Amino acid sequence: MNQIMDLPPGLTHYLAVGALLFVLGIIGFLARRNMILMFLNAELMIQGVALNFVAFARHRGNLEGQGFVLFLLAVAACEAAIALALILVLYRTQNSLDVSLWQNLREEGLEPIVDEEPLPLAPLEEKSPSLTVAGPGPAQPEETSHV
Amino acid sequence: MFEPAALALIPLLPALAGAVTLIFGPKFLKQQSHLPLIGACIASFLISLVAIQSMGSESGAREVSHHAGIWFSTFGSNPVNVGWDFRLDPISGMMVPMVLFLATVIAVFSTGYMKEDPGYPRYFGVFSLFVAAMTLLVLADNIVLLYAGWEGVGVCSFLLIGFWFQKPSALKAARKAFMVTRIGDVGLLLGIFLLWSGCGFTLQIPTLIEKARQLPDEYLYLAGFLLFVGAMGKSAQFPLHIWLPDAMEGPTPVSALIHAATMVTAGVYLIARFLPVLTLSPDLLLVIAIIGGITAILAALIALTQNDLKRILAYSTMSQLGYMFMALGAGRSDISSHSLVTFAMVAAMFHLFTHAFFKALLFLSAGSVMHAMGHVIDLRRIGGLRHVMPLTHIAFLSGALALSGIIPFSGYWSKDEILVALDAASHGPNRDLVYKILTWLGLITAGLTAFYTFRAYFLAFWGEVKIPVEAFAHGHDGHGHEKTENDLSVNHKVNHDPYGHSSDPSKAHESPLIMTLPLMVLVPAALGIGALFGPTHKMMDFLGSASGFHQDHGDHAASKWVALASQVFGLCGIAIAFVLYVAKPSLATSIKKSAGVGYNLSINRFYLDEILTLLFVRPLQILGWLIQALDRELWDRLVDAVARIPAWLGDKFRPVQNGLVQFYALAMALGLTIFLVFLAFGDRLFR
Amino acid sequence: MELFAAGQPGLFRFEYFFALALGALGIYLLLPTPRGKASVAGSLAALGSLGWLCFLGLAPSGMTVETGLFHLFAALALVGAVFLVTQTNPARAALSFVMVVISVGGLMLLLAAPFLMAANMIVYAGAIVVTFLFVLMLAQQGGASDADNRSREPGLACFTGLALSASLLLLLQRDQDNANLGLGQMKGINAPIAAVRLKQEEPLRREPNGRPTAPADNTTFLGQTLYTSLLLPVELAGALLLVATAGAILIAQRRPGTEVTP
Repeated sequence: MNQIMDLPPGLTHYLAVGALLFVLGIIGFLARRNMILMFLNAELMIQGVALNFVAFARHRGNLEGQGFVLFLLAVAACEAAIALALILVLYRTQNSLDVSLWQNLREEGLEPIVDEEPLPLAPLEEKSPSLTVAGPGPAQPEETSHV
Repeated sequence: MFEPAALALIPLLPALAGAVTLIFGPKFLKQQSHLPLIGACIASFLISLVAIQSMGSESGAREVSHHAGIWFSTFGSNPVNVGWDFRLDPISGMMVPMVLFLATVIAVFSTGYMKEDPGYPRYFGVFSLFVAAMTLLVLADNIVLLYAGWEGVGVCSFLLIGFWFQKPSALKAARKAFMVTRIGDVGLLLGIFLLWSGCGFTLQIPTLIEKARQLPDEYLYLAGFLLFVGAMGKSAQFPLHIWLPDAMEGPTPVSALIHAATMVTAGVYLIARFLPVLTLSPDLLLVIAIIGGITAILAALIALTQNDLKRILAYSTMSQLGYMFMALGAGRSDISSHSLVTFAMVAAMFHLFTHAFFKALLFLSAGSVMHAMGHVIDLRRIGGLRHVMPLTHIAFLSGALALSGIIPFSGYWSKDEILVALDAASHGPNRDLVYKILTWLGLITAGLTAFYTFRAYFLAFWGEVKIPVEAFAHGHDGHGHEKTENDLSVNHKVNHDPYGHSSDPSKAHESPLIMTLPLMVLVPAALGIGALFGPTHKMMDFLGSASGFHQDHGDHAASKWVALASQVFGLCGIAIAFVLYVAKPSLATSIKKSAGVGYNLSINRFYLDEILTLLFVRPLQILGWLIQALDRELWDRLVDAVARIPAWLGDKFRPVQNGLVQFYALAMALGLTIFLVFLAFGDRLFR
Repeated sequence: MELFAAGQPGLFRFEYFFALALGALGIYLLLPTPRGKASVAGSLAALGSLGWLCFLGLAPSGMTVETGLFHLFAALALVGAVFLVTQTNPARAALSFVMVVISVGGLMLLLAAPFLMAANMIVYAGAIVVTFLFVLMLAQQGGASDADNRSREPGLACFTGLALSASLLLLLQRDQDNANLGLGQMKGINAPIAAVRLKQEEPLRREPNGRPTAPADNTTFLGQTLYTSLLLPVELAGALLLVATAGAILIAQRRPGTEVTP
């Protein structure tokens, strides 16, 4: 038993951390409404998966897992590029990053899901660090909280 | 000299003609659609004549056979290899030229009769296919090929009976013919299976016949009876005869070829072909003879009172076919002195041969009358036509004389042989009483035949001139007829028509040359062909050399009395007809009244249609109705209910598709959870 | 001490479930709502859950440097992830994602993957997150927005996370059980991962007790693998990147007259 006590962390420990990262990513993806945050959460899931791969590679003593993570990185980069481009296009049409505005593909005759609870008028906390608006920027109409 | 492979051409040429006509007829050939058929028929006819010559020149087995490759094969423990096997032996050698000759003549007649019919190409296309199937049937050397031809003629018959498919009655008749012959066909198929499995899984007909001799009696009886059921269906024997009178809905030339001369004799051909084996079962022979006898007398009795010329001829066909079966049934081999097999077969086939000619002539004459009379065929509405249509009159008279069996015309020679065969069969060791009765039935039928034939003849061609109004409505321009339902629907009006009886006979006309010419060709054939082949024993020499038979010049002259008796009966029939319908027409009506019950039975065809309907059709209809109700009310509803489940489920789950990406992701995550739980516990759940 | 070693074989230890439930509750409390969020309670619950899990044996208990570093990086990664999930400010969330990436890089280093650590950090922290921040700037919104201050069904999301993490841990536990029971020879889908032993022909060095050590020239091997056996996938990945670049440019292009305002 003592011998085992001194062992470094094993495969299962890394798998557990990867699983928890993945689950946190899922929770964020499901709960957050900012499209950019949703994609960040998706990247978080990918981090969990990548950790799994590396742990397996270490465990099995070969390099296939690491090679796979490299491809994962490539795919994640592509995904980020496309996703951000799409987000930009969507933002231009609605002037909002709220994913709840996009319910057009719902079943016919179904009412869109609308939040009833009003938002507080004042921001709950000051925004820092805040980023200045880059470029001339689109004309920003009053955001109407119709969803 | 003769290349046996040319045998395959005999069915092939009409088949090709049919294909060409059906494909190119409606667009290109149009009114020339008859050319391929007539050309193919003449070519096949010549080939068959040459083939018969070559067959005759050989000594030993008088036959030509050719195996033109495999049609299809099966796998398994008893592989079946069905080949294109053709064989021309004396029996088929008699049939093939006859079929082709009559087909040629009737095709020529049809060009006049069917002129300007919109279905002209279709008519000749199906006609060609029929000729192909019929020659295939008689030339087939294996029994599957024979069955193929058998079904082929059935289909063509169906198509031609229903040729005017706008008429509901034609459709009904076609369906009836198809269904009733189907009963027989099933019997034939079962018989083929029995023979095939009983005879070492061979399909070749000569081998079958040879091997079937070793079969046990009961087996042979059953197989033979099933074959006979097939023959009954095709040849309109009691009780499967009900389709033939209705089949007269088809064009009259079709009736002449298919329902008088050729197709309906296929059953006789089949039984004659297998007679060397079937004779080993005397009970079966007796059944065949009795059925034939019943059909002969029944049909003759019905024909006595019919008013439709074509129906009279149809019943007469049935009656004559009954004769042929009686003859086949007389082919006993259990008579101590000598076997009657060959004699009976020759008698039946000879009668088939002569009957084909004179019955075709009669039908064509009737067709000529119909053509001229605007498709009126009711004997009560026509009369005195011998002045109007002299050529047709001669043709009909010739046919009637031949049919009545008056010496020396064809019918006499063949009918006489049948009666002699029956009489000879009645001298056997047992069952002689039945054959005696059958002989007398035959004689009475001969008298009845003469009577009803000449009744029709006198009604149509003698007496005062009666021409229906339709003849002027449709026929005054010298050609053409429009066959529609209208022709039939105005029938009842005609008696009140001012033109009905006082019309000028000169306006009615003889049929055009293209129709009378075939009649004139057939007249000598119908009159003389019996004398040519009968008394000279040519038919016996020819047919007796078929394999399985033997030359039989045995002296049946001891029964010459039947010949005399048949003459007496026949002449009496003619005389009575003359008295009743020409000399004293009033007598006919008084007899009609006094013979109340019998008359009603006859004119209503002994209510056989109704009885069979009651016995078979109604229960089946009720069963069908029940099944339909069950299907509609129970199974359909169940199925509908099952079908509603997905719709209901879909309705319930529709709101899930709310268009929000995160709900879809939620579903994915929960699904993944379920999958993982299954992965963890699956081996315990499904151990 | 092996993970789950104390558990009854084949039975899920409900302590794990309760610990995970506590964590889910914490995240639920931390998620932004229009009423604001219970930061303190939520943080306490999340941290408590993490501690409980460690106590239950989710963390290795050896007293080596490697174990300590593992604890550090794993905790940083998880805390960063929780920040990422719960931040109201997107820019802050992106920065906490950088934290996650760095921590995961550390874990990768522990797993003898230095090249991947570097690549991960360069691609994510260096490129992707910066792009995210650029987009955030382009799409900067004024004031409190629905997108940031409101969660979509936080309860359901946390429940899903709980179910998923519980089932994942359950799987890991069962796997460990099977390995402990000596079922390493099992084949198929239920063969325990933990019991898989190394192939003999592996080029990596091993420690005396059989565990493979970090190979000294790991990066060399990776490079060799990438440009020999994985050459075609590498080229395909390059092509994919090119296509994605072109696609992103096409999609994001501002075309006059195509803007739709529903």
